[in-house]
Amino acid sequence: MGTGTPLPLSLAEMARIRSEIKAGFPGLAATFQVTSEETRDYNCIGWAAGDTSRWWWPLYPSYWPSEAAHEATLEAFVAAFATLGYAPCADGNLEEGVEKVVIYLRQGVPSHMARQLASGAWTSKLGDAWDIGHLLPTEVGGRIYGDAVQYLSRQQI
Amino acid sequence: MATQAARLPQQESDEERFAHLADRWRKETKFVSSSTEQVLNGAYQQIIGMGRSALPLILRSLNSQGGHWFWALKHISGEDPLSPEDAGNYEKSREAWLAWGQEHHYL
Repeated sequence: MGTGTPLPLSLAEMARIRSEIKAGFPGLAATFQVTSEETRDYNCIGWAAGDTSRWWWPLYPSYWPSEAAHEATLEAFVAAFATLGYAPCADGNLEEGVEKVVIYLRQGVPSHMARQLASGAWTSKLGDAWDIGHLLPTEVGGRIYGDAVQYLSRQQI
Repeated sequence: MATQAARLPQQESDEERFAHLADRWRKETKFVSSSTEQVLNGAYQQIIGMGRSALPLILRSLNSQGGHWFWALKHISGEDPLSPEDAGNYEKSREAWLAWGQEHHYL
């Protein structure tokens, strides 16, 4: 489960994992870090929401807040995170006392979310696989997740 | 004249077909965060298209390797053994479907 800190793995094993991740996300800078074991307990949406016990998605049998429309649209994702106190904001710049997440869209449909860390870097859960830390939201954009489109923020809890 | 029976192309068994498709699905969706994209993947849809003959194969794979097979199981079987309060809980979903498989003699 994600801790936000690098995993204690052998150099060879870490190199293999990093190579596999880099093949999927060629935009990742060399500074990216693998910060969890592989797990199916939660996905990127749960991870962005701070919930490491559930897979969030508006599709059976995932969890989805009842207040949000049960559909994979940007509006429904914004509404789902509104239940956690998030509202749309302009950008992903680090602001003191503010927590931010970002929704990615691929062909106009939500595909991924990332969460900003206190350092200003970002953390992403990659599908069924690992959590990673990356400096910029754009680093995991591209073929699989499309583009980081909608930033959301809330006052730090 | 030596005669040799013409070789017909060997037909894949359900097990072989499932194994190829499941392997392809895992590779193609490993980093996919969207459950919608996971279940709309072509290999996953072909497995659903195998119908009820895929149920024991899916359940065995769920048991041994895990994976988000729940949507396929629900759509093929027309049943849903999960409690609404367990929505999103992978391990409880897996346990519920494996128990369903045993109850229906697929495992």
